Amino acid sequence: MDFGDFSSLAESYGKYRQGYAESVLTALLSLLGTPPNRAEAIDVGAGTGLWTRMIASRGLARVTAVEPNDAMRAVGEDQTKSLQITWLKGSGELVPLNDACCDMVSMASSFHWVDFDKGTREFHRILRPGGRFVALWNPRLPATDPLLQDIQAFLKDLMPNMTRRSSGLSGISEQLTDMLESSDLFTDTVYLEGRHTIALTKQDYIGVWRSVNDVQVQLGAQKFAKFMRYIDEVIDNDRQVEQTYLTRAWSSQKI
Amino acid sequence: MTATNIDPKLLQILVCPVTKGPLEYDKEKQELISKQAGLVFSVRDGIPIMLPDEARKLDDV
Repeated sequence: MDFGDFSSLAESYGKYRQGYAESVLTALLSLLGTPPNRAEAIDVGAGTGLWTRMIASRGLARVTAVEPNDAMRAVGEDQTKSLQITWLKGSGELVPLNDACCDMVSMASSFHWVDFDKGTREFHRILRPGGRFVALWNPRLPATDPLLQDIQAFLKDLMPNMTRRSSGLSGISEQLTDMLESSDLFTDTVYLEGRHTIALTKQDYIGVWRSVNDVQVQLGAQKFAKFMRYIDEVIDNDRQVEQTYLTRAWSSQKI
Repeated sequence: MTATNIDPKLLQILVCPVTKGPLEYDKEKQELISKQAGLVFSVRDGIPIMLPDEARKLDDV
């Protein structure tokens, strides 16, 4: 598996990745100058449509999902059939959509895969005046969770020099407000976060780990198998795992 | 069998990813043609495949 290769992850991703905090979505929609039922949104790097379906469930006038990976998009299309979402294959760096065609562009757990300058130029272009670009992530919150701390300590022993690429607690999110504010394209950046807790079965919890691209890539097949065995051993079979997620979102207005 | 057409709402906002210019929709062949870029994008089950790498050149048959 390579960095950013989501083809082999699509099934785990579709099954096990959890949604974002609803209250954060409510707040993000309230920042738009348009009421939700008249707002049009483009979700870029939509993956399996976890965030896209949350937006669409709020009754927006139009929701479009853009995703380059066929396997991820196939899962997304399949899981969102009952909602008004139109899908297309495209990238965040060459968005095939008209200038000023939407009120919100979002990238959920995907902005770290796009070239910042090319991506922000495109999002600026497709937004209407006053429209907002939203980048968000949904990392698991380790501070409140002894099991997750234990597993991450094992991961660190297994590979001391591992760098997390996309956890949403590191990398691009450390300076995102500054990056957006200094880009000349966006202003009035708002940062929001909200916690939500989900009870997972052991199998679902293991599935969440199977859906993480950067851990699998860096460990390689053998160490990843060892890692998965460890998780299997430390959790009792009938145990429910309470997992707290931290939705972190940036909303920035088009200049 | 009839092909699935692109959602009309999507078609309204769809442009060439390279030139951002207009696209011509050939419903029979299920293709989107960007004359300016000289590229033809395919449409599979109503899903436009809008990556330049996966488009064919307009002259190729």
